[in-house]
Amino acid sequence: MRSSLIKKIILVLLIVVILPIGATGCYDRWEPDDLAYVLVMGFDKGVTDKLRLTLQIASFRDQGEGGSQKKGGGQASATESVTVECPSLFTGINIANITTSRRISLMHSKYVVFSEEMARSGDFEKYVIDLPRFREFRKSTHIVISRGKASDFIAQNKTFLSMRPAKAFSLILSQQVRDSFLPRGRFFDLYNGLKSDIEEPVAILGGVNPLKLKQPGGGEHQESVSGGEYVAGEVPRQGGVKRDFFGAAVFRGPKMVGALDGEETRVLGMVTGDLQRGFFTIKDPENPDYIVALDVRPARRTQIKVNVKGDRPVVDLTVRLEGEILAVQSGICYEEKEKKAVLERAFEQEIEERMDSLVDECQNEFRSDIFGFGRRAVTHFLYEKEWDNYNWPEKFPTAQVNTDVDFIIRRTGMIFK
Amino acid sequence: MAEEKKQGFFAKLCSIFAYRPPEHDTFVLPETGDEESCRTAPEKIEKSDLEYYLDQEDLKKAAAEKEKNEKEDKDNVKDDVEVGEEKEIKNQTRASLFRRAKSLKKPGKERQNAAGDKKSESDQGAKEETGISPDINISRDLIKEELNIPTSVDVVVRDFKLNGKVDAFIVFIDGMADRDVINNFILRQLMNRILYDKYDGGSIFEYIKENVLSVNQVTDLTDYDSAVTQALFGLTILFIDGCKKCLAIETSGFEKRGIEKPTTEAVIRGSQESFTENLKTSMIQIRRIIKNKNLINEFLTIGSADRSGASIMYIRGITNPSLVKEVKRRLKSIRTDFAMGDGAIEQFIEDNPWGIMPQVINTERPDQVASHLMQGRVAILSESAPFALVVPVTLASMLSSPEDYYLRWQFGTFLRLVRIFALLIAILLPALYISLVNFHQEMIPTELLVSIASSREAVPFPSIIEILLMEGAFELIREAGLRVPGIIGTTLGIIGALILGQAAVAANIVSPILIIIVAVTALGNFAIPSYSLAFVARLIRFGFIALGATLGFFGMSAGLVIAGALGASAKSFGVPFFAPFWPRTKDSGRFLIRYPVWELERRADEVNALNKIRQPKISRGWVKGEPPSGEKE
Repeated sequence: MRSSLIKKIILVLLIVVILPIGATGCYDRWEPDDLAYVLVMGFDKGVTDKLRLTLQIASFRDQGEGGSQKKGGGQASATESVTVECPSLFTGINIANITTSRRISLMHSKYVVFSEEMARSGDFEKYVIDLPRFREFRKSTHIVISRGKASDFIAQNKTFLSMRPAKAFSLILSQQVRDSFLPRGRFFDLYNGLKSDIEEPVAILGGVNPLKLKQPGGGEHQESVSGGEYVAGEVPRQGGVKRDFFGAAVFRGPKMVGALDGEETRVLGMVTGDLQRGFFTIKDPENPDYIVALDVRPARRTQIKVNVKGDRPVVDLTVRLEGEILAVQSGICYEEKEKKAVLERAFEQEIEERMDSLVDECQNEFRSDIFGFGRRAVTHFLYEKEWDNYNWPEKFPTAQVNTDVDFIIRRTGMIFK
Repeated sequence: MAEEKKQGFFAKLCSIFAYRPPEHDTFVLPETGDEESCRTAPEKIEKSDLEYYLDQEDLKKAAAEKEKNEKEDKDNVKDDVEVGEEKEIKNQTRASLFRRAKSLKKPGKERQNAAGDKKSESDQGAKEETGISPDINISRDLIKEELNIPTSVDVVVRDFKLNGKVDAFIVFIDGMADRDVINNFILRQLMNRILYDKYDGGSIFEYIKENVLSVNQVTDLTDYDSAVTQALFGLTILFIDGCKKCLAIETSGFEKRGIEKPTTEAVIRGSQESFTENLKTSMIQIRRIIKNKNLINEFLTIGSADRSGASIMYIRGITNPSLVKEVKRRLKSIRTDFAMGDGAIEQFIEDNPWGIMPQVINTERPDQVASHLMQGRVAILSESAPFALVVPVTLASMLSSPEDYYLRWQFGTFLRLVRIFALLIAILLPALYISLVNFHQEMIPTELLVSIASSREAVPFPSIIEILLMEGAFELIREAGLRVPGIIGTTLGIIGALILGQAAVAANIVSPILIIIVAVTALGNFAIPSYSLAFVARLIRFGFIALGATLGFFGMSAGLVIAGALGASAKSFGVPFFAPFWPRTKDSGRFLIRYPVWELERRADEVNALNKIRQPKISRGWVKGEPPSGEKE
């Protein structure tokens, strides 16, 4: 009895512990310093091979070291980049491994950059569609479309203010969502659009900024009111790093068909719910020489109703926003009840106009349902076949979209009157 | 307690781990009925009297004594009356009995009631195994031989004459007995002739007992065996010429430590006293808290050579009688020459010596013991150890500290959650670290991972070696800290850990983040209130490190299943270790959340107390009453 019980115990221990060690065990064991962590991957069309892969890898050089003194002076790069030509990402990783003694690991990649060339040619899909098959790839990685070459973009992808690239790279995209000049653009947001026809994918638009402001008096002087009418690489700024994220790349199916500027991306965000908060500037409705700045947040979820009964679908779009007055240059007392309504109507009108023009652009120029109206439309169909027959991608450009924007000023800022 | 559910994979796994030695019968704590019968339980107990709590042997003895007393009433002259049950023993010759005394003896025969034990079932007069010779010279020689006089210098035999006529002597152990009492209240009285004025020639023994000795406790003894035992406990034994009895006089008064603050179970609020090595003081400390006539205190001797005493305490009417009987059965069955305090007793009586889970609570706090007694548990106090044992034990009771109940329930609950967290940390943190950095790097935030990696850059060892080095060093510090003399010892723990850690990091032997892991693990371990449980955590964390380092989270999960099965199969005196979680009982929720005291209406369900109700539904009577009206009305 006693010996048989002990035998049983030993058997269970063997099965539970020893056997898996033989079967799987330490083969998967990697010390953290034996790995090289890729932070950014870049995909370009190759010259000698199909693909030119650029890997930006976090370097251990200036970090940790137990608070010892910083080596050397100046700005040592906290990342290292490797570019290889290869037939596929995975071979590329192997080839890139010859440059480093550590195993290259994708499990901490922050974003993947594709060149616009690839995105427009449709090669993009070939590489992106199989990414989740690989164990190490994170589905929450952001997808960036770079205007110009991805390798150039990565060359300018440096940290600003800190020497911690991992933090900088993961923060810059998640923080931008709050300011809403970027779409959400994570891999799984995009993947749904690629695989189905209920919506079309949108990716983050990136570019390299020359960092040159125009000199005064040089050429025409185009006045911006909303402030976001740029795409990445053209934002008028100086200082910081050259890498720019601004606006969105619009796809139809696997191919990129165009780009949205920052302002359009924000309006898109109002529809899709990606907009979390943004500072908006409009012309003062009572005195167009001045501007009014507003802090705008979504008040409710955007209501989208799609009617598919008629020849052309009818979309009723209700966007509810609320906000706060930030600046009134003219000194007009918009805090008062009647005046407040004037400002609210003006903003509503402004946004409605922008939204209409964005819808128009998407319907006629891009022919791409980036708003996800198809998500609503599909609920009217019981069977997949019916939906396929309805052919939403063809129907969307014909749709009648009625936009309605509702805006309420909740607070008047820290000044009451 | 809810019936155990033995089904499913987990139960099967548990049954594999539920190893019991084949000669060992599993003790099952019987049910005590539902709530309704509990309400009526106290009356039942009154009828049943103490008999419920006595085992067969005790009952036989009590019956024999009763019989004997009846016979004695009939025939007072006949001293060597035959008692049916003890015939066998009686037939043995004195010489053979003494031979027996020198070798290992059956403990059942030498059980004695200490004179100090008020609640002892009966006087020891019934024992006539080695009837005392009326000839005092024989007695003296025997006692001297038995107590190794004059080789043993601390045993004193003092001869004198009662009333200047009758030969007598007292024997005591110098130092164990209180000299003042012997000088002033025994010898002075015995030799004071005035006190014999009224002696009318009857039994001198009874006369002295009743008229001469002014000591609070005296006991008749009728055999040398118990006389020697009592002398060893510090009593003074009086032999009188011509008497077939001797008198054990309570004089025990040896040097002992005073009551001090608890050192291992310190609390901020609540009682600040701990047990001492003196059994009697410990018993009194408990009785001072529970002033209940039903608090029973039984005395047993364990160990044939050292005759160390142990005392069982329980509350009649609350404690399950089967539990008391089982504790007594196990204690009485111990055959050893030297039971070293409570630790040895614990190991002798625990259900499963192979199991890693502690099966007995040991505590140095009288208030802790008292609260366990009120829950229906049994306490075992032992001589020469400032700790009490309490059975049965559950994980829940090992994680609760008396402070929980001294604090308001919100704070108590918080402390409990902190302790559970501490237990998990103490067991799992190093393993978690090793499996994260070796197998699941994707779960670590990139920044942290990169800083772990870069801090490990200069370290030439794999993480597992690092962690074993540091854990090993910490174990060394802990063990050495106990033994390093004086002031250094107390500070060694902190200083040693700091310096060692700092130096190890500077020498690139370990990475700095590991120092944090080891330190937090140690903190978690120290936060566990039970020393035994903390030891379990201390040991099995190495198992988890091994599993985490070889199999990652899978290994840790397997380890948790095994540890869970071990815990679930462990039983302490018939009570499952994981009660009230598994099996579930009525108050399963009472562990995570320390309910307000006025909500604690029932005793712990798993100990199957006879009276399960502690207080009525409305224990705060004032909430239903009228507040006194103010003066203005």
